Amino acid sequence: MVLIDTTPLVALCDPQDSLNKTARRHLKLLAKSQFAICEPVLTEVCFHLSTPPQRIRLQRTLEAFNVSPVLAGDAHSLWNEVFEWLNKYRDHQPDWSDGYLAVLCGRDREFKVWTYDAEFRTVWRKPNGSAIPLAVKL
Amino acid sequence: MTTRLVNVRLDRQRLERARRLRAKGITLSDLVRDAIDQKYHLLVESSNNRDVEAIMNEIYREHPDPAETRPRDYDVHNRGQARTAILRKLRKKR
Repeated sequence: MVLIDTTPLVALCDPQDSLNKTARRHLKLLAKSQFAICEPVLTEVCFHLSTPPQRIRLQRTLEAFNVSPVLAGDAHSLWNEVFEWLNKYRDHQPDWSDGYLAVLCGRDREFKVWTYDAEFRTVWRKPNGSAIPLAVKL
Repeated sequence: MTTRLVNVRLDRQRLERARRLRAKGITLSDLVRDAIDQKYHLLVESSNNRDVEAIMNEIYREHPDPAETRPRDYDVHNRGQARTAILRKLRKKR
């Protein structure tokens, strides 16, 4: 299961984005995967894709690639884990979505993150300290 | 293999159907497992056949940016710039 992060999704839905071609190439590589997205990432994406056509493209893309929502059954304990994770990495100023993705990967070994944020490779780790599996290398 | 219990709500008509199936010796849990497997394989099959380029080009073609759309004035792939842009937008909304 590939967890999509903000950057590749924005790049994919905006043909003018500097990483649009890269995102399309990666999507081809990952086409056989199942995709999922969490609410914090979707919220960030909508900040960056602010015009109606951009958001329609986002909606169409999510539909076309059967991107499922990540539903956390125990939201309160997930929030607590994310807050702990954010505190652990406070010197690096992570965002809520960074922590959310790291914690989700810690909970489910099948998750891999599709991201263009170097921090997922260089800084962020799962709550247990192990590396976050990445779907592609930039 | 560990398993988890999943409850499924049924309306009256489906409940009646389920009773009849059970009366004929069909195990409902097997039925649900088969249905999940079938649906999953269909989903994976349709995923495998996706033509990424064609799909994305169609989406771009059908929903283009209007000519007057200004390009983003920050780089989404730069964490600092992206964060500043979001904060700027939030401040505007206040």
